Amino acid sequence: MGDNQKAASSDVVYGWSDLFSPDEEGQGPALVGSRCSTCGYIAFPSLQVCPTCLIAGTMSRHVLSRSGKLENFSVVRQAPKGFQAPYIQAFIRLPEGLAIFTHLIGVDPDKDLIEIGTLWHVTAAVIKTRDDGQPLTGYAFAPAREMING
Amino acid sequence: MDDIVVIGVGMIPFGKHQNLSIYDMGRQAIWNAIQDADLDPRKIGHAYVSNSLAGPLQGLENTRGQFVMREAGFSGIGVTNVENACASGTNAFRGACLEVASGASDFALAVGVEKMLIGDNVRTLGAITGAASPLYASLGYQFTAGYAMKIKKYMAKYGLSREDIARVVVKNTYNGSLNPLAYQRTPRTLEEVLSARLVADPLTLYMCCPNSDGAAAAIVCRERTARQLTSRILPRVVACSLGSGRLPGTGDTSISTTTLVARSAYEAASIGPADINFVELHDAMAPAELIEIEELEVCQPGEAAIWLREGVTSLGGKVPVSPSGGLAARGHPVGATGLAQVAELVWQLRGEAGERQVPEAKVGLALNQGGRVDTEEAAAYCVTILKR
Ligand SMILES: [Zn+2]
Repeated sequence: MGDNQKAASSDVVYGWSDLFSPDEEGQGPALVGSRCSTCGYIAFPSLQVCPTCLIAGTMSRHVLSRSGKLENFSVVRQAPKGFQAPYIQAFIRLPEGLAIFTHLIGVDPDKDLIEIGTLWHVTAAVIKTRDDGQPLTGYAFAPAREMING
Repeated sequence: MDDIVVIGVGMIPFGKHQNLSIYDMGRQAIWNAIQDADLDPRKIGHAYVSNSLAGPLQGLENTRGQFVMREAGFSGIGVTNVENACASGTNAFRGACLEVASGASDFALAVGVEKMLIGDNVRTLGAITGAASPLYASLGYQFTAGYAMKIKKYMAKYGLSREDIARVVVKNTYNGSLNPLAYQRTPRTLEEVLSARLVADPLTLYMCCPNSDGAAAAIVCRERTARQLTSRILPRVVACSLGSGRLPGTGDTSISTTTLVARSAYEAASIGPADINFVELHDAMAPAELIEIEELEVCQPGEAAIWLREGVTSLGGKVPVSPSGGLAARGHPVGATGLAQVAELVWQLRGEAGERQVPEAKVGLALNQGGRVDTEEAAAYCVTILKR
């Protein structure tokens, strides 16, 4: 964390090296948060202090589930600089209870049926084009079936 | 805040002010408020200046408030810069109230200024995105789509139709058509709202507040101080409560932060939500009005759309909502909006709101919110209650 200033010129999204593991334990990409050893609270992006216990030093690195259910989404048709509209902004609810803000990829927002409650899988993806024309990488969720089919 | 009153308010029409800088707009709103208060400006001891986007949009990264005040003729008095995204305005107002409540100053000024129409919509959109958390911002979080998701969930919960949510715009653009300070003064029909361009499903263009330029200001003091100067109606600030969006999974998640902040405001004011007889909302996307009046507990869960259909929230209804036209009609120059809400409460309570006057306006509430933390919640929530 703390690399807010670098985010603008970096080729990865804010806090990337802390929040994403490209091949966690040889099982593919995963999001990384933190978990409280006292109460079990899970934070993403990770926090250094547990907000429920409010005790310092109880949080440690925690790899999140790779798949979750689509809770809500909206198609963005007016995009900020560098983003290509339409794109899909969504929340994915992970089995451990927390919801992740993400883009959905691997579907066409105008052609494909996107259903609440379906299973989606995390992956690395190009999120936007930087001012210098280079891609910026972040995470996104793709339909879980496409991950199985390759 | 026992005996704090608003002695004067000022505003400039919201809209496109191509030839006015944030300093010009601030100066005009400040002097409108001074004239409204009929006050010797030398008595103002401190200024709280709210602005959100002059960093990314005008390149004014630091001490914007001092430059705004200097252009209005003030130098030497203390200036506090306030930035809380779209909730900056009422936060500046809160600072001014606490300034005089603490006895630090006899009179305090709050002014909000914003210039968003810079001829580059994509850049303005990017700057607004900066009000989300750093991660959300870098992922391109769009406030329109965030509201869209919340509204979709609410529609599904109560089985509401697209007509139900579009009706909010019909009411608010009618109110806005009666407000000479509003940006959008064309009343829209249900058909126009529903057939307008889709911005983020289910939100159409007319449901979304327009980016805008503008400024608004208020001057506050103790009631006994004001009474030595004037015999006019002096709306009392009975509450101005501020809270922040909570991290997911912390505290009682069955209650929204809006509700928690509103309850703290009702307690401070020693009133209940049933005592509120008109409301100004933070309807950045007009249909959010339905969710917000429920979260404020002004109506029961699921009742908002029924109230709207039956005219309870119309001008002349039991609890008019956004008589000014709200954000969708008045426009939303983010750092100025909260003070425009305060000005509207004051005009209504003084009976000076003209064609959009709420009959028997006695207790008015304004909800102002801004930013986004790593949840579906806003970063800042401010509930202000004024009473005559
Ligand atoms: Zn804990």
